[in-house]
Amino acid sequence: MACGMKSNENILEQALDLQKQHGWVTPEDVKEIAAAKGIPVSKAYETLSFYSMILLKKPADVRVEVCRGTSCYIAEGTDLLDELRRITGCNVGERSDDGKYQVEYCECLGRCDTAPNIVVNGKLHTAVTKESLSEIL
Amino acid sequence: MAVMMTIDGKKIEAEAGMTILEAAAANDIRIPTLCYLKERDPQASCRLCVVEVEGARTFQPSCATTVREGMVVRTDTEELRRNRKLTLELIMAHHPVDCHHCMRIGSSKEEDLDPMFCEMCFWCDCVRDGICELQKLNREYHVDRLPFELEGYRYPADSSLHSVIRDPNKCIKCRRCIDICNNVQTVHNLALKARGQEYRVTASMDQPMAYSPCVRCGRCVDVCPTGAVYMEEHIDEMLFCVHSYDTKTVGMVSSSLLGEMENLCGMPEGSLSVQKIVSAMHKLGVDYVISEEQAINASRKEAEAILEGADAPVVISNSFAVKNFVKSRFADLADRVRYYSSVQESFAKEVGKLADRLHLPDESVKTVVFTANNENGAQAREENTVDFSMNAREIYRIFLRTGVDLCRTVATDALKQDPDPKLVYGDVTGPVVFDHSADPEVRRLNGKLIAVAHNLGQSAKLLEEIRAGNSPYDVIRLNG
Amino acid sequence: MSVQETRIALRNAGRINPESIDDYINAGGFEALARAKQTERDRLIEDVENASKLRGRGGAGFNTGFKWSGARSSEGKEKYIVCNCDEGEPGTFKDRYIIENDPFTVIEGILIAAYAVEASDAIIYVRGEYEKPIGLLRGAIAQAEERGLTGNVNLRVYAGAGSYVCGEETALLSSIEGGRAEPRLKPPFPTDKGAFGKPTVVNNVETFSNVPMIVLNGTDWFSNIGNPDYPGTKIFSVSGDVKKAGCYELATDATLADVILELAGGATDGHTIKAIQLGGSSCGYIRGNDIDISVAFDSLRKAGKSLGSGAVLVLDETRDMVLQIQQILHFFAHESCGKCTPCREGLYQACKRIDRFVEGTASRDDLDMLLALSDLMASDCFCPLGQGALTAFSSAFELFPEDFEQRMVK
Repeated sequence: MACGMKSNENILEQALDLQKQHGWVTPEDVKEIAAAKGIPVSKAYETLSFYSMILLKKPADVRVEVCRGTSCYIAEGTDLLDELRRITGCNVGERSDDGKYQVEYCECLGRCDTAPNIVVNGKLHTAVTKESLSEIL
Repeated sequence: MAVMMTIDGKKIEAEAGMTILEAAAANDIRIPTLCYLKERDPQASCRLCVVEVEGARTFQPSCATTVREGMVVRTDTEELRRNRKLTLELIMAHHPVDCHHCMRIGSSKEEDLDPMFCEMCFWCDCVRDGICELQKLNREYHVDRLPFELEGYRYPADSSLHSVIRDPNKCIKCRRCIDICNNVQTVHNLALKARGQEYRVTASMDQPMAYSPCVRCGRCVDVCPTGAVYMEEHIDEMLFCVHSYDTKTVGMVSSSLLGEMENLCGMPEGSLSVQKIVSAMHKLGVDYVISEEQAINASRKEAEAILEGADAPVVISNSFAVKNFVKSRFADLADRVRYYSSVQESFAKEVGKLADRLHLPDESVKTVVFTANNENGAQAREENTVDFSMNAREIYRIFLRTGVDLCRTVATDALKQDPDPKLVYGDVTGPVVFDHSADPEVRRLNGKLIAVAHNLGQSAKLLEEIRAGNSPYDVIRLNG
Repeated sequence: MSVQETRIALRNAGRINPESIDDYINAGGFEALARAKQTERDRLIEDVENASKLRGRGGAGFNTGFKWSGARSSEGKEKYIVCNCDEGEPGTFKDRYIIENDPFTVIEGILIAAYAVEASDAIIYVRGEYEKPIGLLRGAIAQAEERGLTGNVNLRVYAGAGSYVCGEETALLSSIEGGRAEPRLKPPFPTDKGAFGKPTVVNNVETFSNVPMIVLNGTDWFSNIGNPDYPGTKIFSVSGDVKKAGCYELATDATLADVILELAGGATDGHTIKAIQLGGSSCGYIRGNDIDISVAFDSLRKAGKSLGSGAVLVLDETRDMVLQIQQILHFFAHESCGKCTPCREGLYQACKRIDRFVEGTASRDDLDMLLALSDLMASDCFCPLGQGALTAFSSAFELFPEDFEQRMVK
């Protein structure tokens, strides 16, 4: 990597890189990270489990994150969540019965000027409407 | 350098660098704590030791705030008491209450229970009932009817090891066990997981304890303020054995228990003796007692034989936790460490001799050890060294249940054996007391340089030196 | 339009290509760094500390130069500069806006600070959600390195992975060190023992972007802009029920009305402003008809409000404060690091109480408990985030008690 970055200097980025490859951070990945950093496995797991972007459990095929910032909240209204429930069959914090969808809240994405925002499988979608939601999914 | 300050209106002199908590304690002012652990870095996470410091915007944790010249501190104002009570209530909202019912805290079942019944039975499920730091503070701050809905039991207890058991529901997140497991013992098993409401202590990678790097030293059990980590209890089985006519029980009491037993029973320091506990053991129904010295002597003799025959440097240990620790972390050095019998194992051998002498059939003899080291309990469970190995808390509960009062017990003059005069390394091969310090004890004996580790962290240091080939010692004693 | 923006941190926004260092250099970039390097270090810090009185733009308003001189006088060869771009406060997006428009000014500011305190390392900690800014910063650093502008400072970008608490400086340091983002005890302060135990200066993105212009135009120039106690400009991230949401940089003697009415165009058509949450979710509310107040840090503090990160969330008359507070409390409960009891357990209980208000089943007890928790957390929590978690509630209840009362069981 450019600009003096040792590629695995930052444990979080290393985990996010592995997550991009595998869809989540597997127990083997955690061991690999711990070995690369020279820290105990328990410590690596402890650190990674703290951060909400890092998935230590296998996610559903479609993982929808709804921004919970106040700006997005006032822009979302309940319509958007109703529509989301209609499409995915799950409330926020749930997985659909067929295991395809998973809907969660995420923290403010810092895109308050283009609220409401959602993230689908790591990709950001801004100014989401009821209509564009079904398109995205 | 001395610092003049005021605590609760009392002018006191404190050492610079002391914390408010230490300065207060030195002047008989008690500040409640739950996460504070003596000699360790403060966590300042329980927020019970908060005090009012004049000039500060918020309340300050006294365990982590150092004293300053002219500081004015109040430790017991109405607002502080109110805050502490609310903090305790917040903890209790998530704490399954199965301790002494008449003090049952806002129990959902309280209407069903007859307090009279509780007074009579004195027998509750929680392993820390009566000796729980949280329960004690709840009583002090009159936490009885919770202003919250009670929610206990969200996680299953992890009893996969059948020795060190973890009940996450009772955990108050003081992090003492984390500190001991990671920073003192360097086992790196216990760790934190997630955050917010999901936040809890887990074994490494959130696995069951049986699949974790736990070495069963049991030091976490000793520091837990509640019943979140404890040794599996065998009280019923033990009492069944001592009460059976066709079973002969042989016991041993370790002197390492005395301090903790005094503490649990509220006895003045130095007032308890091994003889008193032996006498209490007889009251329970234990038939024979072998003195600790006899077992220690047997262990020492084994160690002396190893030391005599071996070339320097020689590494010896009789600790079960060390054995597990070396196996998992220093597998390459497994052959370098020479093990000899733990005191508990030697005791079992002595019992065998006794049984032969008295012509007792093997299956009719049961062995009971009262000891402070939890690793013995785990060893008894895994290697069947003795039938029952019990720590101070379990013994306390047995005495409570059977009505044995140590304060009123008259000492029996048990047989005592003097150390064998032929022992050269008597001090090095005998029992070693666990401590928190980072460096092993080094001493010179008969021209040999000897290192004694008092915890696994020190043991790891000594083993790493051996691995690197720069260990200066002739004799190394490892201990967990 | 009568009110004009005063652009210092955002001076190049829209004027340069954020991917081109040449554009930045042509716009006068890195002149400040060159000039700083000709100034004696103590003099430079003295200028920033006492003459310019530049104060932290992240929310605490701490004197920037004071941190620099603290780290400079700390012993040790290795020293760190950490740029806090973990912009997690809901409603705040100014740091992203700065970097997306001009990442170079941040880098130049950091390099000046690194020169001043003789730092060997500099880390820009960017929240993981900001993928584009991370890319821009990395590109910008690579270009600056190519030109030899970074000198012997090891400058790099660390990405976070989703944690609000990282905004607190000691939590951010814990995260940089590869641990849980939990706040630490102070003292020791970061300027004595910060990242990896080394003396460390932690400043916000906006703070660093002000530094080049201060060096270039002089301290007198800077301290004459805006309010004398909090000189310079402040960027406001305006969102919510306004016509033109976005970032606006104003001199600090402006009023909140200037920001909301003049620049952001006021409330959306047909609506009136009910309340403004200034500073983010951990700060209190201001009534819609009280917006004629100065945005200067200290005058707001005197009025019991806070400038915080400069987030301006505008709520119109259709908004119910109870729903706002419900969102905020659930957000904090999710973000609490869990370390201290009042924050971890208090927020959980507070969420349950506010949910009852939303369901319409709340009683006087629920309200009293929320107020009691608010007192407890403000005085007992470990870090400022816990201490401020219920500020929004107590402020909303103070200003709009009717919103809460109408949802209570009579």
